[in-house]
Amino acid sequence: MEGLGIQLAFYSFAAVTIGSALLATMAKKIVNSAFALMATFFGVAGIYGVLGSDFMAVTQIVVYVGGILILLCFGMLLTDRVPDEFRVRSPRRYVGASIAATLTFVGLAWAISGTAWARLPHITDGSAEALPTTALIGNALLTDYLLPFEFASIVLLVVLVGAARVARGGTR
Amino acid sequence: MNLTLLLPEIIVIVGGLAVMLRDLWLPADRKDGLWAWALAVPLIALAATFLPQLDVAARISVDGAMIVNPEATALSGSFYLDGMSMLLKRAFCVAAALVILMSREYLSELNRGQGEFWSLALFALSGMFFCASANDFMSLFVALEVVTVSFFVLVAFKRSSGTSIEAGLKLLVMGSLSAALMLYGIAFVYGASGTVFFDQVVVNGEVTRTGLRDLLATGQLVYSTELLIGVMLIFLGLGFKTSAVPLHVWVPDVYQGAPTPVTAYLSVGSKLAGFVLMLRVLEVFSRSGPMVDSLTPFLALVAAVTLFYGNLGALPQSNIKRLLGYSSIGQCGYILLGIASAWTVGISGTLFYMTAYVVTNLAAFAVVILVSRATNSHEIDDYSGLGRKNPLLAAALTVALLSLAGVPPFIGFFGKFMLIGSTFGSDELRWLGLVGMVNVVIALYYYLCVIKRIYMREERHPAKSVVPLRLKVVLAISMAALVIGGIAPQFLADKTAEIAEELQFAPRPRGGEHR
Repeated sequence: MEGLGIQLAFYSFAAVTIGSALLATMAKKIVNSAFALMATFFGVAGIYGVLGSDFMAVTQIVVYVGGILILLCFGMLLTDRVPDEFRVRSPRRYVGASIAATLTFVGLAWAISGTAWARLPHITDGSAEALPTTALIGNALLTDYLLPFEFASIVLLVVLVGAARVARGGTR
Repeated sequence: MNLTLLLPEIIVIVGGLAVMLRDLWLPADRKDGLWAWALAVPLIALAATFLPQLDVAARISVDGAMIVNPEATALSGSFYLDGMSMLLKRAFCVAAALVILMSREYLSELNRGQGEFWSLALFALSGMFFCASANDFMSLFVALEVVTVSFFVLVAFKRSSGTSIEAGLKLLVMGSLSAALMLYGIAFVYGASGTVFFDQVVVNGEVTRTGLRDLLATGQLVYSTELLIGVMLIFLGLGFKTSAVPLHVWVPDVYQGAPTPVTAYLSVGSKLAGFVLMLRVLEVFSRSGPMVDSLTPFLALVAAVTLFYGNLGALPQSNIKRLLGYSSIGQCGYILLGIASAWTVGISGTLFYMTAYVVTNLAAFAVVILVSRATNSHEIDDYSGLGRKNPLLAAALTVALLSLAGVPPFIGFFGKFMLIGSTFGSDELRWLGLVGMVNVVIALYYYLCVIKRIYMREERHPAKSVVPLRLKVVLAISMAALVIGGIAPQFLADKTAEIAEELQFAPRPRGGEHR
């Protein structure tokens, strides 16, 4: 991870992520929040890209921008009477939320910085830096992770049956 | 690769699909017969667990050290078959079969959706099976989600009832929260260790995949804060399934709102799936002394709070399903008490109690289903005079409640005896044993209040419950298990002691070398 270009890319993506996340929480209109959230998701995807996880970056965009955010927009479109001024602003809540957020941040930062994280060999020696990770992931899914991979199909089946059951019209 | 080991799982999944397809081909007026198809699946799977091909030694001795037998694993080590998974799979089969027998009456009120109900119940069973055999964190997570997602739908199955939908939504929200917590914990463990697998895989003398058990045993992975945080988060996530504090808040509402057979299934199936995974994860990390030292007080505290919460919360309840909900939180506390003392002799008692809990709780719910069908109510006041109206039903409920309370000579007594006894094996857990004993008394009070209404009050509802043959079978089986298990507990206790030995919870090094 040497090189000025990479450093620059990382910090600009980080700035986009944090800036738009702030925007998403501060915006007065929920539509603005949703669009700021889109920038956050792109920023996180960029960080994944910088870290050499091309697949994670693409997944992040497909799942979060393409899926979750669209769902969110549908939710807003289909819900009647979402007030534009939807936030209750009271100083007490700000204080409570700030304390909780600060404590969480300090706790996480303390745990993460004090950790000797296990490093995967291909990251440490940089041998696989430029390779696409999809082949590795595909291999892993069909060897080491075969059981969870196959059993996930049952999760999907259950979800499909369940969605049909819960969403079906009528009283029965 | 040894796919024979997966035979019970394959039977259940194929059975679930077969029931679903059969439902599509049956004309509407003949769908009532589908329950027999559904019932056959857990029974065939139960029979399959007794095949000699599945009887593989779970551990083998190599160079004097006991290691996991590769012959007992399948799917590149993600699937592991040992005594504990076998015992639990049989318990899950019995639970599913009894629940299917109970559900038939409830489902006849529905004209559509029977096939979905049966197949979801069977898919949930397959998830429980994989929980019992999960041997890495990814399989653990996916298996648990199959169980949870099936229950989201089953709980909300009665679409015409607002409480059922509300219960399903509550379960969904809390379930998602707990799944997120657990995944976060798994990420911590992966970050600290670089692996999500419990066992290493060796091909031609070369380690192709590292496992947590081996990393901890050889000292390559040592105790660290984020490893502890990870394991604690995983336990919180599993605690949701077992209705342990602090992720217990959904229990009373969901138990009350869900269709009663689903409540019964949820109270045994989902719960035991969580407990078996707790034992498995704990066993993996029991190789690290400092980990054991940090986790024991954590689990003990959760157990104590859960015990008090469940049993004190049950006292003012007037709805029998809510009462059983709080009681199930209390029962979860007892099992956690055994898990907290895993390093002494707690495992045998825990497994014994888990097995006993299946038949006891299902018996109680079977009676609740029958009484509510006659009185159309779940209020405890409407159980008044049940002793005169339906003496046999009243006796069955009394036996089930007394067994839950831990009164001899029923099976629950020996379970509680073993669990509380196990805490006295170590000095630092003795207080937990006392907490357990205090809670036995509290629990006895509210169970006896129900029994008092059954026998000492005038009846409010003249309607007598008609007991269909299927529920007679359920009650007969569970009563026989309760009484025989209570009179002769050695058979099951010997079995669980044998499994506990195989699990190899190392006896704790007192002030051991790790400190």
